[in-house]
Amino acid sequence: MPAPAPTSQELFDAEFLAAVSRFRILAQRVARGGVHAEQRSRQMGSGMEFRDYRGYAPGDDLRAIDWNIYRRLGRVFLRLFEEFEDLPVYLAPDVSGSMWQGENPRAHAGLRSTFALALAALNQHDSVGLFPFAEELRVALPARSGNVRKMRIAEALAAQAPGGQTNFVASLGKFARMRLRKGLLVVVSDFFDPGGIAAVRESLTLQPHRLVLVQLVRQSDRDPALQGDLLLRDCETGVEHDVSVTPNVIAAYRRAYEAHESALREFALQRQAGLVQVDVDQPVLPQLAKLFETGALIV
Amino acid sequence: MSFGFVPWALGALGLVGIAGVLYALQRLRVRHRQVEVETTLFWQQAIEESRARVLTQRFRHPWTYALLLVICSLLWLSFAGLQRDGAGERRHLVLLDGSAGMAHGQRFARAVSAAADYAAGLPKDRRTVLLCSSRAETVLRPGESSLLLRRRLEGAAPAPAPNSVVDVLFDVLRSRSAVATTVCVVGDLPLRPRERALLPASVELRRLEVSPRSGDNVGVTGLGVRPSSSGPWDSVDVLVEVRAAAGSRSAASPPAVSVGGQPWTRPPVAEPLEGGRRYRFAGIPAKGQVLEVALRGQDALALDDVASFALPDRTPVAVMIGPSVPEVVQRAVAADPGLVVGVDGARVVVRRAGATFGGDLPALELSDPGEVEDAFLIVHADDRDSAEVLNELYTGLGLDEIDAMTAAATLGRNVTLGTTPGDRRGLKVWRRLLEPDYDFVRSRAYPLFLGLGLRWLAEVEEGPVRVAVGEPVDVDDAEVTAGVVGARSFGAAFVPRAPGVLSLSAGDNLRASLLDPVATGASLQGAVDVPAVAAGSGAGLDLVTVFLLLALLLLAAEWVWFRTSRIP
Repeated sequence: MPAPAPTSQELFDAEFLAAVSRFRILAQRVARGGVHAEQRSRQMGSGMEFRDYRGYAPGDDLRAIDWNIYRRLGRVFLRLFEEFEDLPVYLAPDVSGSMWQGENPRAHAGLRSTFALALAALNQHDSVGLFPFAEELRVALPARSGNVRKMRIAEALAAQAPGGQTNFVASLGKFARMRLRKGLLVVVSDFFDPGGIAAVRESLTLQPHRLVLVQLVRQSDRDPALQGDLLLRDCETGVEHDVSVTPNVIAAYRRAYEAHESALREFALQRQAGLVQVDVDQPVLPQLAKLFETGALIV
Repeated sequence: MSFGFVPWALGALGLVGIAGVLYALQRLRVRHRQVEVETTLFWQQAIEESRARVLTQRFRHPWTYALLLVICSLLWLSFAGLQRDGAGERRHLVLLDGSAGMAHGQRFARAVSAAADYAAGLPKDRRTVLLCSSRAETVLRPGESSLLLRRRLEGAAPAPAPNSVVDVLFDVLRSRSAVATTVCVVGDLPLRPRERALLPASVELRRLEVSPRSGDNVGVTGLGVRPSSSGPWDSVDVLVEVRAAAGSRSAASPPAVSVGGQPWTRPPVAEPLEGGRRYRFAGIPAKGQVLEVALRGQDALALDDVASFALPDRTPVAVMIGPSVPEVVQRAVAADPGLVVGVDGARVVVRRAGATFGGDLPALELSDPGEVEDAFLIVHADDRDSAEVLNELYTGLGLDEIDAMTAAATLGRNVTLGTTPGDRRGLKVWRRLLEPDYDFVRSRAYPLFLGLGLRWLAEVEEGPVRVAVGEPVDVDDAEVTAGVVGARSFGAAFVPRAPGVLSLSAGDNLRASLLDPVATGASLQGAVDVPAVAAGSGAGLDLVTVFLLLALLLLAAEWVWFRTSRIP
């Protein structure tokens, strides 16, 4: 019987909120089309900070014409101001069966991590959307900003239930096909896809967004405390494997796990994605803080 | 090759069965403990290398199967007792010395242990172990486990008997001289060169080294008696030979001697001997008493410190001589120190034939040719064969010394010798032969015939006085009825097996003593030096032991390979 998700009250812990308030996400440049917020936008418009000049073109706002230059040079130029818009942050927590396994399921740490990043984004008026996934991806909350979203996100996270089998290709493929405004995609998962690391890479490569990967791990992933003749049953697929666990088998297992980790790390490096490992048996926030070591998570 | 414990067919069937059972076990599915894991993603590679046994799946561990098959087959062959057929191969005979000489300290216990170790290394089906104590006893037969040897020798002790290894060796080889045999003697081997030369060429002789004797030891190694050199008929001189073990100090004082329970105080005459001394106790009256010799002080072996025997009874035989018996008879009787003329206590009588003088006493009667046809007529007991008696007494009475031709010429008729059964012993001789006119009384045969004849009539028979354990003793047809420690077979002399008193059916006693220089430890001059081998240096391991060792080795290897995950 999987442990239920933490309630919204448990997520709204005052100490937790205070700690998260120090997290900041700083986008180098956000895509146009957002609402006014604190992130620099590629949009040049009616902002407060002067950015550049350009020649007048019919249809331009006459209010932007720099008449002083016109007097001196006799040519019409428009003054361009930098726009500040929001960063769309798409949170994709993994709610597949493996996330709910055991007495201290990964889902708890995963939902807390998701909520922490959501709060960090909402605190700076960015829009946050929630897209939990397992066999397929669901739109729990579309990307919106505003303080009222905090409670809604908490309630939506608390309402999560164990899903089925992990399917990165189907789930994140569907997300890519939504053609949402470019933003930040945060994937919170154990990255245990039956298709292996290849399926994970394939699904993430499709994304046009910047990526932050939160890998939920525990010590037993690397050093499983199993011995003897065992019938191992995959909690998601139900596939069974009988195995006689010996030191040699454990060594082979460890090699496979390390190859998986290494491949994920290598992908994050190539894609310039953020990657943080969160030990689910340890407090979440200190580990997430590694993402904000430079003062803000720059994406 | 054959199986020692099971039929050949069952042995082969067992091997096939083991192979089948192991094959089935290899393919049997193992009941696993079910564990639900978050993913089996990373286990799949490891699983490919270590998939458990699953029924109806492919046979995936042929080398493991082969290893198990070899181990189980070795164990089965050991259980079935696989052995080489030993026809025509060398046999091994182990002779364990269990004589008194092994009673020094822990020699016997160490010899038993050494013999057991040596026998364990010999081929099981071609080894025999004999314990040579007071008699040869087979303690391990061919085919028996060497463990039985230690069990059978638990509590065994050396017998108070002389070394019999050489006798047993020849007894055994007499029946198997054609078979190539390796004989290993554990203990003392007093083999002389002439005995060594008699061993067949097919016999290889070895000796297993056991610990030497510990502590000083002096023992009586010889006893003897001879007529007294000082002259009295009824006295004897007793010779006592005392030797010291090699490396021991000789006894400083002569042995103590008692005669009939009374100590003999006259000092002996001592003379040196190789490794000891010989003492002569002179002038001991010989009246059938028991003479005991005891060494003073304690040493490593007590069995050889005492010896005893019964002195001969040399009391003169009283002879009654009747009237009208020729004077020459009386003079001859008086001249014989073993005879005395008298009435008191008379045991025999000499009289004229038909006279009643002397009553029922055994008599030497002087007859006439008309009364008795034979010149010499021997009357013997009814239960004896006449021819046997004649053969015995022809020389026993000195009759072969008589010049019968001269006597016949003088008498003018044939001089004949005859025997006849009667109620009691008797001798009849023609009176005329004893008259001074005839040569017979002047011949050397006359006093011999008269002395021996009267002694035979008085049934004076000096039996054996020195009876040594392990040496044959002539007791005629007497049956040993008490104190029997030895066996007597028809046609063979009686051999006492232990010191002590042996009662004969005739009422006499024999006193056997341990008179063995080997038991005492005296160096045996001229003994062959047989090369010694170390214990445990047998001809090789038997197949069962080899199989068990191999199985043990493979089991250890399997454990190591399992622990290092080289086999599932």
